[in-house]
Amino acid sequence: MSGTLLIVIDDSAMARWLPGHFEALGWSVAHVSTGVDVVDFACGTNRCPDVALIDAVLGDDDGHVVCEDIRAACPDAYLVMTSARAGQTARLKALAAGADACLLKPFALSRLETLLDRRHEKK
Amino acid sequence: MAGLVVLVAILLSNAATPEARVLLVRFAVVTIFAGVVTSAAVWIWLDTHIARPLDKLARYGLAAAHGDRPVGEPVPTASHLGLAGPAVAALSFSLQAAKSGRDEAVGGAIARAERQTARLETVLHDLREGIVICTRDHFVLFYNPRAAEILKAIGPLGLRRPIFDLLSADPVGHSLVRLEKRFREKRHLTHPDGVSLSFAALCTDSRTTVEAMMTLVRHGDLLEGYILSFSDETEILAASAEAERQLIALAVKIREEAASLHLVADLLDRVDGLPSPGPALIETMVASVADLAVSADALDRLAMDHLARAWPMGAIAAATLFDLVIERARMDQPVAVAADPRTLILCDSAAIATLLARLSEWLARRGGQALFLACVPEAEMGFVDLAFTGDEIRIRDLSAFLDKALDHDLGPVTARDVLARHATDIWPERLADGGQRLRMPLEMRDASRVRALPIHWPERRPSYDFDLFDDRLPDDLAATPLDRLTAVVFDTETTGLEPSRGDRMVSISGVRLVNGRIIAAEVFNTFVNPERPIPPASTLIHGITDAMVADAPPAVDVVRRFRDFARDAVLVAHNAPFDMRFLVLAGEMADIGFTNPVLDTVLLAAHLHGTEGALTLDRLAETYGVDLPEESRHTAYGDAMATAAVFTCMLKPLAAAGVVTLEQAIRASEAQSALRRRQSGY
Repeated sequence: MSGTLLIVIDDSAMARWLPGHFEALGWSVAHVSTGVDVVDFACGTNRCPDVALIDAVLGDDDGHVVCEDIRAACPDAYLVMTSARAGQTARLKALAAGADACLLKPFALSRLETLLDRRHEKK
Repeated sequence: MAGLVVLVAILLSNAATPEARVLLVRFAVVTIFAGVVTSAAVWIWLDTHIARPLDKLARYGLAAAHGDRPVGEPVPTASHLGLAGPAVAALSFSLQAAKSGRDEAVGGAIARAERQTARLETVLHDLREGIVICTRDHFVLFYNPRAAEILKAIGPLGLRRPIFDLLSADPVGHSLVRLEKRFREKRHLTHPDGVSLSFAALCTDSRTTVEAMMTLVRHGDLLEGYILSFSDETEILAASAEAERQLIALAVKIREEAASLHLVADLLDRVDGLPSPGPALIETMVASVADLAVSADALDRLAMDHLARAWPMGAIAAATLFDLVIERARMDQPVAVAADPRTLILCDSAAIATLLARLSEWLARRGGQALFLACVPEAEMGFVDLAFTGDEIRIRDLSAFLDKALDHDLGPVTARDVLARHATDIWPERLADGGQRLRMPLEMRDASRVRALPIHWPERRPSYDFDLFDDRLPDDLAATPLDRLTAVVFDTETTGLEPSRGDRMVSISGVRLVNGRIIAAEVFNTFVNPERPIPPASTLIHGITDAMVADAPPAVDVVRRFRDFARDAVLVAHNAPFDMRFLVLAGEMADIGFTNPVLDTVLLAAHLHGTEGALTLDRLAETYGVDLPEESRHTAYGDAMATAAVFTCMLKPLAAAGVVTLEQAIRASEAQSALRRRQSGY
């Protein structure tokens, strides 16, 4: 059984299809689309996800700030950021925000699956 | 009559009998009486019929001429004056008619002009652009509120005041000369801009540049003046950067959509039993998505290139940038800095320096300590790191700072704007030793690898040429203290380093110093047509292209004007032999010589600082705290101003080191020059 996956992505095809896809793969998925929702979600104990997928831009919120918050609340979580910005800057900033990995868009779904599988195996 | 009396008297004395005598006397009296009466009658007649009418006519004529006579008053009769009367009458009448016609015409014209002026003023008043109308002698005739607003930071616009109170003389003068030439040669009839010309008007504050359009005001073939229309260039620049930002945002959007498409393609691929040609279609879709991503990258690159061109981006030595930061940061504990002297950072130095300074202040306010600014050039990009110890800073804390306006001098610009403009970002990282750093990527270069774009102009080859000027100074000039001198500090930009091999001036700029003070209004600044192509390598240094000098006056004209500008002044330049060689060469072509005494700020600085270390203008400017606006570095004007500032800053230290008068300065310079010759083995 896979663990819990928190998807923090705003409007887009990803927000629409990813939760269903990973549910089908056995993950227990929760989906929020704004920074405020995340705070609500991760505030309590025992509610830390195993893995979180966070987009760099969440409407008006900064995905990096959200990533920072989750990292602070859930030191063991595996955090993956996705970003549409070009180049090294995006990657470095994501890592600075506490992410474990950064996927630059557009990326292949298989890459994301691989990352999550590896994490699951580590557990 | 008198003759008659005499005759009678003679006759009387000769007459024999008393009867005869009495008869004679009676005859005499009657004759005399008749004579008197006749005279009187003639006189009266003349007076009445000639003199008086003539007088009246004359007065009538005079009055008519002076406009005192109401129309219609009859002409005095003067029947005995023949045509004189009617002539005066006719003249007077015509005069009246002409005058009243003229009065009416003038009145009508004035009324029309007033209406038109009122209309014009209304239109100009509401224009978005600033409009200033000047006479040919550069006095302000008219300006609208927008012009006053745009130029208010520099000074007040005033009617009948010279526009040169606000705008630097040379760009305006030069543009007028160009337009006049175009007009006189009738090229305006075919020129796409007609009688208009765009130019960058440098303001007398030496920092602001205003994009201006000059248009001639003509009356037939006469040039009466010109119109300046402009908008604040920083506004134009801001709008331009906005376009680039939107391009970058678009690139991001494209990537987002590409990601969505990719996901859909991937998911479709997983669908079992997809009938053909399904899988092939999906493959095509994935390939297209990859292309889309490539396009997004190309868009990014395009936007960044435009950004770099639109804003005053340039290469600045990291060390110099950090010095600027220290200068701007108002803190109790100064920031420590470290930078490889070979590292060049590509950025808008004013904006980045301000950002880093405000950031340092902000960190210090939050209890940050041991601030340390360093530059880490790496393979693809370099980083500017601001390390510190203290309370942890997180991205959300930094965000608040990034949204605040940085500096009123930069306009309503936030740190975020500056970062966006450089297509970069800034974030906190934790360091192994427990401290933190704020890291900002910026494009960097290694100066040693870049031959074409050095920040420090390679020390112009020294060659001893002090016999350029007359060694025997007049005693009073020799004894003049340096701070009482009239001097012209000048700089040239050239096509290359070898005048003997055909290199020529492309620009020369001079600043007048009187009693040790820079007279901002007395500036000589002009492009020079070198009458040969400018090598691209030298354009890279000073930014002057063939197009820019195409309409410029040739060296023979420029050097004559410069000679007049610098008459009776001491010439000062940074590495004077270099500039003097070009000046003297041009002078020879114009058959004039320069007999001014010459001072070299390099040699004066060597006297103060010794010969270790570079005595470049940049270094000296740093040493004396002279702020060099990046945009004007490596322009003749900017360098002339910088040299003048450095020179005035050196006056006190020179005096303390025993160099007070011109003669002492020349002796000290000669000693330094000899030293340098020995050292370089010439």
